Amino acid sequence: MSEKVIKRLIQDTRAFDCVECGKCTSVCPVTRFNREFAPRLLVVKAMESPSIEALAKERDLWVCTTCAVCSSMCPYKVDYTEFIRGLRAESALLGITPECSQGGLLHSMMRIMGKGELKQRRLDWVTPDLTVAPKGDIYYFTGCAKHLSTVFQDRKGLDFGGVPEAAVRIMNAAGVVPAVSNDEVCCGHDLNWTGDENGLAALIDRNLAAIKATGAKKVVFTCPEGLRTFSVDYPAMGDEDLPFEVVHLSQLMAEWVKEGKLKFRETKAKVTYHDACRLGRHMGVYDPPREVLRAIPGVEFVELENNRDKCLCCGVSGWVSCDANTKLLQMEKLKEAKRTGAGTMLTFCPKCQVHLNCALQDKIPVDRALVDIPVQDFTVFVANALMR
Amino acid sequence: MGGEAGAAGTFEPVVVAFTCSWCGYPSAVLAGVNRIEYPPGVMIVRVMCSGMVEPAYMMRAFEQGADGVIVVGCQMDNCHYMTGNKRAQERVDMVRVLLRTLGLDDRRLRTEWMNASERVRFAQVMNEFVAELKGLGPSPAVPCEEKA
Amino acid sequence: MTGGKGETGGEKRIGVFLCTCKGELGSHLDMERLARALAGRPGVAFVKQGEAICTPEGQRRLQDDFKGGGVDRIVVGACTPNIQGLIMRGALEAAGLNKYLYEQVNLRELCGWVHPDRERATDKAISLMEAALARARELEPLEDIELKVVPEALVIGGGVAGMQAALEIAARGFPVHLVERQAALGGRAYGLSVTFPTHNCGICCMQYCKECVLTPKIEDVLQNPRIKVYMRSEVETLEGGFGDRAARIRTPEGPVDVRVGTIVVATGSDVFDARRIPEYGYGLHKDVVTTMELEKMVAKEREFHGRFVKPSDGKTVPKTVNFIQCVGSRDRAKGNLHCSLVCCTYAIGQAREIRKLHPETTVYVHYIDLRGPYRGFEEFYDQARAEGIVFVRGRVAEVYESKGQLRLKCEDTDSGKALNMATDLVVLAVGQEPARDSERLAKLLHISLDHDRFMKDLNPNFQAEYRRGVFVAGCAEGPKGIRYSVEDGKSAAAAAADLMAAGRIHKTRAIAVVDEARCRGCGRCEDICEYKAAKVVEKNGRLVSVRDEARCEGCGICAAQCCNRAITVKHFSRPQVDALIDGLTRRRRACGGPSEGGS
Repeated sequence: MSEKVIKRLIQDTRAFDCVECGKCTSVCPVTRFNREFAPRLLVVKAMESPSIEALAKERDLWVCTTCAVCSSMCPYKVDYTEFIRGLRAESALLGITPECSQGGLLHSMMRIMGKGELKQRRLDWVTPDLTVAPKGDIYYFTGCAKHLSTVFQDRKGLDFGGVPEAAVRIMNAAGVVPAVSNDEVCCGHDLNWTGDENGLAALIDRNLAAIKATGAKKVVFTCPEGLRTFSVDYPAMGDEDLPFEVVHLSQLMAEWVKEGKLKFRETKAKVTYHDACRLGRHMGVYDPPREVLRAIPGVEFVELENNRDKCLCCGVSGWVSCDANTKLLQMEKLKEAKRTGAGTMLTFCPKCQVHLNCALQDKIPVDRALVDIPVQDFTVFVANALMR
Repeated sequence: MGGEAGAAGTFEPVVVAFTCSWCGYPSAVLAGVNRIEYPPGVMIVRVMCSGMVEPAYMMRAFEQGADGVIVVGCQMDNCHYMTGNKRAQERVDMVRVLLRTLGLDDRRLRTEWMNASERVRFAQVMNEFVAELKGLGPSPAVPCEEKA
Repeated sequence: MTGGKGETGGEKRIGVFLCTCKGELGSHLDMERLARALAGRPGVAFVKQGEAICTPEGQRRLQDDFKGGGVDRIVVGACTPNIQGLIMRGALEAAGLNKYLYEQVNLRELCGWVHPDRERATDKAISLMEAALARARELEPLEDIELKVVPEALVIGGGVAGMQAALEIAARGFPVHLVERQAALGGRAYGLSVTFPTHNCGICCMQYCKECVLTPKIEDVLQNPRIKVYMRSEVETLEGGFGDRAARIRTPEGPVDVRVGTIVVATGSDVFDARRIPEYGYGLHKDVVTTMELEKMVAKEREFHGRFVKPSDGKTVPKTVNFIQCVGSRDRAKGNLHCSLVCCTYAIGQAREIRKLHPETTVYVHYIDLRGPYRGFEEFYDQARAEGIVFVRGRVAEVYESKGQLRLKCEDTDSGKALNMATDLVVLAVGQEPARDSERLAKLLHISLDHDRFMKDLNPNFQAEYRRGVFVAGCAEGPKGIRYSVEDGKSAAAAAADLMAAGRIHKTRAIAVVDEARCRGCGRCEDICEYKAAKVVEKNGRLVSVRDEARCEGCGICAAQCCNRAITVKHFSRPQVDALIDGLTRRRRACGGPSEGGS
């Protein structure tokens, strides 16, 4: 049984094309500090001893951050991240679940959102100065960042309440009134990457219904994880294409900048940019954020040493891969950011912000002056730069 | 069978009660010794300290169908492990915010701090909690489905 | 640990025993239905029922069934696990079961005895047992930790309890460090010249020694080669864990560091400050004194050829003396609900002494209840009445001065009359209350204070408490007299000596362990640990948290705080607790709650 499943996975992800060149291993952020780990070794193990149960009990299956730098470097385009996701889904079917950060608190919440008959309070962030509507052509996906603010309330600088407001402020400035819905639920990204496909399916049904009710033809995300999950995983789980287009806010912003719809005031800041893997490598959106930054007068933009498709992962995905090596990886990442001389590192992904800021607030094994660069939200930065 | 509070008599709320080993659990045992009654929906999970109860456990209880969750520990300023109950209260307060955002009534999660001999109070608290939950109805986090 | 355990592998490894508690439980629960429901559950090899598995025959059956049943873990559904459960567990341990693979469900106190509806109670019993089975599947065999006990003791407090404890421990061959805050040993008892109701069996640490038989002698303590006494000293800091603690004593000559295995806390109680009841006029009127002050006044005449006189003029013998009982005790408004046990005996004793010296003086005792925990009290009280001491039942409302005469207002509740009496001397029988800085010490030693702010005794629910090696004796534990304090000192000493004689203790393995691969060295556990058992150290270029096995108490606060779940408290692991949560809520998930039937 395991053998068949593994064979199918290998086929679907082109894992058989692997020529053992080792290019993936050299760029893998996990391997950097965990010498025993290699993306391709997992495939090899799977082929040599095809037992899902044995593979599921190995740490290696859960330690991969699914950042996709391996696939992006692979000359044969083997989809390692999909292979791992598939294996994780099979493990979940066997009842094997990983130890997660927060003990699975957030995963529990996502499953409740999918199964329960609840009236959420998802739109508390909407204030009278923001214009939203129950129906419209463009739907803004609020996402779950507000829950993260609560869970991490004892950490400094981790408050995502401002992100949806900032997004809508920008859209309103460009003359767009987005639709939002209180019936929206979590996109399901974390359930997907810990193998809970049933949980994901329940959330998909609810989100599709909520968005359909608004009549939207375009769904815009600030969160890269939501973007990727809707674009790639929703159609993969369902039978048909999505009845709407899925786009990232940076793409819209870049358009509006070109059309002169967004006016910025002088904002003196030296910033660098972190290409979140779900936005960059997974979805191929690299240029639009840079175009937006270049349009803000006074902003000095400096690239990270490893940028775009080579951008170094923040270390954690789905709350499942965090461990001792992650900490070391995060130190490397922050050192790199600090070396740019920028005052802040901007990114869209709320998870990257959580993981990197969390690392900064820990006890650290290096001199704090080498790494203490704040990681802040891109959307909020742009909204603050808008001309009043 | 939905979440109607009016479904008279058939709804027996399930409460997961995390009780600490030094105060909560002994109070429960003493309530038993004295035959002080409370509803059978109250299910006790013994932990060493109320401070051992993580937010993930509370949320899991709701995910798995609990209509109410209560953390019972030592009186404030008298935790056997010094500060466990304070930590527990902070964590409960945080999870209540999460519950509100999710759409669950935050009265479904509460704490009670008592010393080890408060048998009457233990039963009283459980009776009150279950009565309140009966008013709130079954938790909408796990709506009733057909049994396979 | 990533990669958890699932419910794969259905080997039948669990043996289930249901006890009817000699039929008692059987009348509250449908044991047959319970047994049927459990028989088919995953992993269950057998379900056996017994009448009384805690009896010798019951235990033998347990052992035989366990040995012959091919199981490696046992779930028992019976009474409370912390008392009789230890008997069953012990029997099975003797038969080869690892004690951490034993799980007992309290079907009696937590189910049968509190839910009158038999059907519903049985439904709940099924849920409780199923949850326990789920947890049992996740249990792992563990070995207790062996820790050495340093064969030296620290006694904090040089009153009668502390001195007795020190003498007894030294007699058993162990060195003792005795720390006393004042400049002399003996505590409060040192200021007494006579004790009651025995009169002559006093205490040799008194100023005037009669025939001291039962109580510790100061000279003995000072001359004992094994007891090192630190006067005018206090315990400043305390570090360490079970059986091995480092204490820093602040002495007038500078700090002294000692290393001990056991600690006896005999820090006593404070005397209630009578100024807190302003209506009694203490501090305002010279002729209002406390029982402690009275003791000196009477002793002056009885022992030292002086005269028992009014403090206000220094020459008149009081013609009327009024004792007011329960000053600062049994008084919710003053925060002391408790009775101080000794004041009645003491006041009556002093009253009789006054009458002996001055038969012409009238003595009144104003009381609410007369309480005497000591043998001989009734006879003592009868004699006091026979000797003409007047007992007035009613709390005194006010002591005041009018035209140069001290007066008091009270009610004689027996006759219902309100009285306004002239008096020459008012004696306040002040009670005991928790020592001022008992909180600081309690925090230092990780002793909890009870709701009345006295230090808590051993918790009868958990024998593990005993192994910490910290014992409370004397008035620190609650108000008491000399004899009981001495007895307390003896039992604390015996317990401490037992531990030190054993040389080692077995500490439960249910303490925190760190998964070093998951630990990010963030330091939050170190910040939150009350026992300083968690430390972040550097290892191979990274930071990681480690545990001191001796100090860790297994509370789990760090485990819940660790955001990456790198910390587990053994025997309370996440899969084990999750199994309980899932099992207890299963019926609700199946829709309908405990009242709906089905498996």
